[in-house]
Amino acid sequence: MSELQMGVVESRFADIVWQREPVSTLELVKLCESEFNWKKTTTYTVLKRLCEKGIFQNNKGTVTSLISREEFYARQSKKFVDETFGGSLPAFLAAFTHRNELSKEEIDELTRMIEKYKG
Amino acid sequence: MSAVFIKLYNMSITASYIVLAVIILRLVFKKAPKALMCLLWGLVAIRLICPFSIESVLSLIPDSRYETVDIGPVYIDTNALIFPQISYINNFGAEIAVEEYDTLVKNNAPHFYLEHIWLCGMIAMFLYAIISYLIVEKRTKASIEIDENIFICDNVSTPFILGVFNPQIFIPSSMDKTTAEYVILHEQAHLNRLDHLWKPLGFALLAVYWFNPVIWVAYILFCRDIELACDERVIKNMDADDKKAYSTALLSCSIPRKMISACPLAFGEVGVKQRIKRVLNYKKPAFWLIVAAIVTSVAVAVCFLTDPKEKGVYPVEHTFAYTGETANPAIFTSAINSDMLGTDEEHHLPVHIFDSVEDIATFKETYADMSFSSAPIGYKTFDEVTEKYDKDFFKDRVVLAIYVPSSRSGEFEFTSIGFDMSREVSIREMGEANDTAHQGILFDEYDIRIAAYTDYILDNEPQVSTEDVSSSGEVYTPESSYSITSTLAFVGITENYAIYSDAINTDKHGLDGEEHLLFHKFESVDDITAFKEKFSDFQFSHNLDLLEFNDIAANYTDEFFEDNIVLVAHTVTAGKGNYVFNTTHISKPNITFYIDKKEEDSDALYGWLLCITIDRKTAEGCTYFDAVIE
Repeated sequence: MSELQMGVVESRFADIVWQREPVSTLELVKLCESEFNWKKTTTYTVLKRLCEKGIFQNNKGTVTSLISREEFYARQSKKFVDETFGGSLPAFLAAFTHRNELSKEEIDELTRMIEKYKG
Repeated sequence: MSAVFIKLYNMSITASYIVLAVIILRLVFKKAPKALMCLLWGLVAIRLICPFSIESVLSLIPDSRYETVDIGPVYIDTNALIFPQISYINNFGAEIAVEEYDTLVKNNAPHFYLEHIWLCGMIAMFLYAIISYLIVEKRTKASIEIDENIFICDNVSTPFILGVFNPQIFIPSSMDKTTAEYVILHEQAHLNRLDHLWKPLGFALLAVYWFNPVIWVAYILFCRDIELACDERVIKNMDADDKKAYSTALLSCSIPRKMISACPLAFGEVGVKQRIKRVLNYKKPAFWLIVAAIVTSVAVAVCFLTDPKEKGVYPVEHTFAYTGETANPAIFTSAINSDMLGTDEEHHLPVHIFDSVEDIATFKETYADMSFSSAPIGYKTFDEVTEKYDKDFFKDRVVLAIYVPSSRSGEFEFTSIGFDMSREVSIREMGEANDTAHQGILFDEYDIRIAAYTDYILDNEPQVSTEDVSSSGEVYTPESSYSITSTLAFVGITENYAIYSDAINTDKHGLDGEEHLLFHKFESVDDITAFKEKFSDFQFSHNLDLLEFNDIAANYTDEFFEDNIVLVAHTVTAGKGNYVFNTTHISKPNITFYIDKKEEDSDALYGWLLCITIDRKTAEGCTYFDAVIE
């Protein structure tokens, strides 16, 4: 959480703030609704998270940035942090894949297998 | 255990057989299209959902044979290959529906805590599903739609589909475009196959049948097959390059990242290795293979969706055969329920067991004065009925022989059912009463060998037919109550046994557990005189402050006897004795009174004459009188 990270969705939200700041929360809610079809609570949740990350601040209903867009992207680190539902999805969801414990050797082996494939 | 739980338990057992078959098929037809396998899992689901099914001779579900278990009429199918089922047998040896059992034994539930455990488990499963759905849904709130019903989201690490009625595809926002394209193809394949409906349905079934480990195996394999089927659908028409790209996408999604496992259970770990191998090695299955797989699947469906025809369940029969009476008291003393005979107010009937052909022969020898080969018109003979009781019959059946009088048609209705291994059965005779009572044997056949102690009670409420055979044409309904206030005179006791042996209904004396009044009839003043001479040691008058017989008899004049007759019975019980005659069974030439004796007082003295007046019109044509005290 102390890492300056944003997912794609958060980035698009952040862009709106950086573009429009200083922007009232009400205005922000309206924008997110029209842009992403977000409910008020969703907008507030995302905003809160980015404020906690120290990127924005919410001062009595007005949102301004603490870090500029350029500065932020300069500080980006390459690692990803997950905030997911955990490793395994609920059993009743149709999914693409599940998290396996693939060892490095297995990954290498499979990579080789794929590369060798000619059809 | 309730009917519902037993039913579910049994259903999961039959489904287990299908699961085994499908597992074998999967192994044999590894290269067959996975979509077919998913259909087979559908068959399993049908078996788990449908409580009924058709019978067919082609069924491969093992037939049930019963063995008794110590907890009463609960029979576990111990001959089943692997999975035992529970059936209930009623006391007549016939298999009864579980629902029927439930209504009979509301509170007699052994192991009922098992059912509570099942319910808790099921609720836990559903709670897990609901809670995880809500959690996932919350996380996907902050997402952006990039295409119709396809969203990117920061908070998910794996692509999936959420929603049953309005399914949406969620892709992790960190995924690169190429991978995402293939992922979307896969997820759309899921949607086309309606997996977003089947998988939750499967999970719901798993939640209900969680107690059966075979169902867990089925679910896990089902999940795998779904994923493989989607893979197949996607790469079916792909060239080598596309397949490579797809495999790469698969691999990259499987590379573990930092994770916290909130879920202790891992479902359907579809080995990525196997999936990639399958994708790379995929060849369109040969036509003959597909055909073979389909044919076998149909065969499996027929063999496992149908139930076996009921073999080895014989109809339970009860037949009455005329034998007449026997003078051998062993008919009572050697009965298996001899300890119950004559003990209480109920009319217990002596029961003997036939376990083999020899038993029948021994019986005939012991009671040789019975009539085994001839019977009055309308009745079967003993020999006729026992003819079919041969060695084969006794292989899995047992016959109870009940010595019972039949005053009607010889058709008996079995009414009550007891629920421990010692049964108490109440029987009642059907049909119209006829004039003579025939003694005979009521045969009660059992489908299984229960060497149980069984007690039979004759519960005949006197049913007077509305078409009375009597010539007087008078009809008495059972509900009519004659409140005859009878008179009791104190007379003390007599040493003359004829007070019992000369009674009209002396044959009822001491026979069963019921108390009978033994009647003498007075039709004229002379009868009274003769009676008084015969039983001269009665105190027809006395100095006690109690009614004297002479006082009562003073009313019995010639005029009186023109219109009435008198029945007199000696009762030893004390009491003021207002006798309420509740129902009267009149079938000339018999009258039977059923008496409800209201004892108001308990005198120390005993020895009374009960005098009952009956008007001649009623008594006309009656030669036999009996009274039973209830």
